[in-house]
Amino acid sequence: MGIKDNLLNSNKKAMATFGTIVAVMGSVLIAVGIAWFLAKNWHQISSFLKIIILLTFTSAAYIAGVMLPTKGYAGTGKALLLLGGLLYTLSIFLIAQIFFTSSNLQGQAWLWLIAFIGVAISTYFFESIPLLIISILEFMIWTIIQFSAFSENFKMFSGGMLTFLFLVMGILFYSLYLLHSSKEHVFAKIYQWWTLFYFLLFTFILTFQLVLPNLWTEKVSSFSAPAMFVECMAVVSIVLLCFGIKYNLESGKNQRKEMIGVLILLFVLVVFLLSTMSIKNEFGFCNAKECYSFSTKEDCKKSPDILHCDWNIEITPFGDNNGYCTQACSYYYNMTACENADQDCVWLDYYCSIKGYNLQVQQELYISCQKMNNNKESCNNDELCSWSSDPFFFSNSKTMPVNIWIFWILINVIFIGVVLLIIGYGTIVKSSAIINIGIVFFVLDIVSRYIGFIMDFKGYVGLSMIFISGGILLLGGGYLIERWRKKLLENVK
Amino acid sequence: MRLFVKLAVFLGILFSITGGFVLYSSWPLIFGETIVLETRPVDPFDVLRGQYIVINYEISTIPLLKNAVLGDSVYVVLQENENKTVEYNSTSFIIPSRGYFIKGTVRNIADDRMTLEYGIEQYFFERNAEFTMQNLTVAVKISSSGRAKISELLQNGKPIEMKYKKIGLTS
Repeated sequence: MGIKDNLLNSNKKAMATFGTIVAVMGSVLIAVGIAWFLAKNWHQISSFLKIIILLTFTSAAYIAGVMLPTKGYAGTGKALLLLGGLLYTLSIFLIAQIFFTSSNLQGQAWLWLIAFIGVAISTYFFESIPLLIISILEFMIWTIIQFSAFSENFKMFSGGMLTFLFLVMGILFYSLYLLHSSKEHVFAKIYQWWTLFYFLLFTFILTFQLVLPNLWTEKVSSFSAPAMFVECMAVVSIVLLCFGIKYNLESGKNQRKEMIGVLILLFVLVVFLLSTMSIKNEFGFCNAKECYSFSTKEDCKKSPDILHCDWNIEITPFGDNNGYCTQACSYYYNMTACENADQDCVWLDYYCSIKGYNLQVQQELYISCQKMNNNKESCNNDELCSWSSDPFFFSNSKTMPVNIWIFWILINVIFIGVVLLIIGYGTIVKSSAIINIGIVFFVLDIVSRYIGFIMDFKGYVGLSMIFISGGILLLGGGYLIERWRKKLLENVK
Repeated sequence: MRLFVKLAVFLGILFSITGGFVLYSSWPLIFGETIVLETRPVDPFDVLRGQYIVINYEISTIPLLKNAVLGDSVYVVLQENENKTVEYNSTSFIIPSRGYFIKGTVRNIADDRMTLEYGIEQYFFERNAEFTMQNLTVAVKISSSGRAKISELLQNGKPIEMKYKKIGLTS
């Protein structure tokens, strides 16, 4: 074959790919347009007719999608199959609209599950990659909504569990990749790509300082509905992983090293995620103790002298209450009672106070305790301060506890390691898609850290210096990444 | 030929799923009995399903059933009042043997009251349709198992009259 034939062939291939992309864009546009027609919910068209119209369009899209490739229009056929899947999904939502099915999260989860099942069946019937992508997206949406629905229904949300769910999804996709790869199925590459995407996404989410200590703030019982959902998904994924490994080994594919690598990576990520339990509730306020902080009579009596606390039993029209800890003398509400009291009380214009109490000392106490915000250990060690956790009390990295810094640095190192591993793997298996996804996450990481540093070290001089140095770094980094990417892609070719 | 068979089988499955979903959703509407419920509506929007009103009912918050916890299914026994609408009478964990009753799920518990969800808390209608929300009641069909579906939105006891804006390219 001459150079001219080669050029002609590559041109034909490029045109076919371009044609497919254009047709797919057309399908997506049609589906979005129909979605908005549905949302309009015209009363002039009867419900029955609406269902018939949409199901007719869905069937027509599927039939045309199957028939066109036999006439030599493979690209348009692919796009029409995709349109069929999208129209089927919209049909489910149309039926839900007509019959007023529940609009809460559980109601939404059911709709996405039914939509996913239908699209997944068509994916395997017609071995369509665009449909597989739609199935995976619908599956992803379903898992997140179902988890949220369980969390909402049982009033229990755990960020740690949600993150764990992402990891479990990664395992599930890897298992599916192994199963398909052992049969040399066309879907293997797509599952491989999604596996990498999920692992990278999982690790990337953990690289944020705000996320780490807030993963396990709520107490999660392993028998709660959200936890059981994640556990069931984990069991399914692990069973599939075992089958995937078994079939892959039997098929004689030389993927032993790759599987060992993935299992080690999984182990590291699971251990890391579980170890973040040790840094829960590390964010919070350090407040100066007041007499009201002591709830029992014994604690009240043992309270620091500087606070002048006293246990007061108030006599109410309904009898004596159990008492409470308050500043001595403060329970005398008029001057006569204050001055005639047994204690050393003094009337100060509008309230009764114990002699020797110094308001300035109390204010200084407040300031000294506040210096220990986000420093649980020191705050708890100071008998004049009390700690209260608040997952959203996060000002910037300057006040971040040391142990969170350590975890944060560790996960960033792991993340960069995962990125490099994936890029290296992409180079070995000569896949530009894998290399590109690794580089995209690497760049995302640089941008996130850059913004993070700007947020933490505010101020005009510092900001301008960081912008200039950051800009130079990004410019130089961009050039180096581009050069590196080109080199890697050249190696692949 | 094999391709045609494959396509026919797939379309059969697709129609079974959608047909099953339609049948399941319409079951109470076909075989159920009609009751009318008092409402307290609010008004949001769903990206895929359009404009709807969220309807809270008088029977949405009722006295707490002993031992009921979040997620439990309970049966609310209803009785007709002088306005020809139905109201709360009693609750039980087991399916009542007679009378009107509706199945709900416990969604919230506060003190001695519980909030139930019946799956009829939303009514979808054409975007930008206009109607007042005063004196709204809902005609609901209930199957023999207590599953409910909205059949009609009523205003002052009659089917609601909505005003529709003219359709144009910008509507």
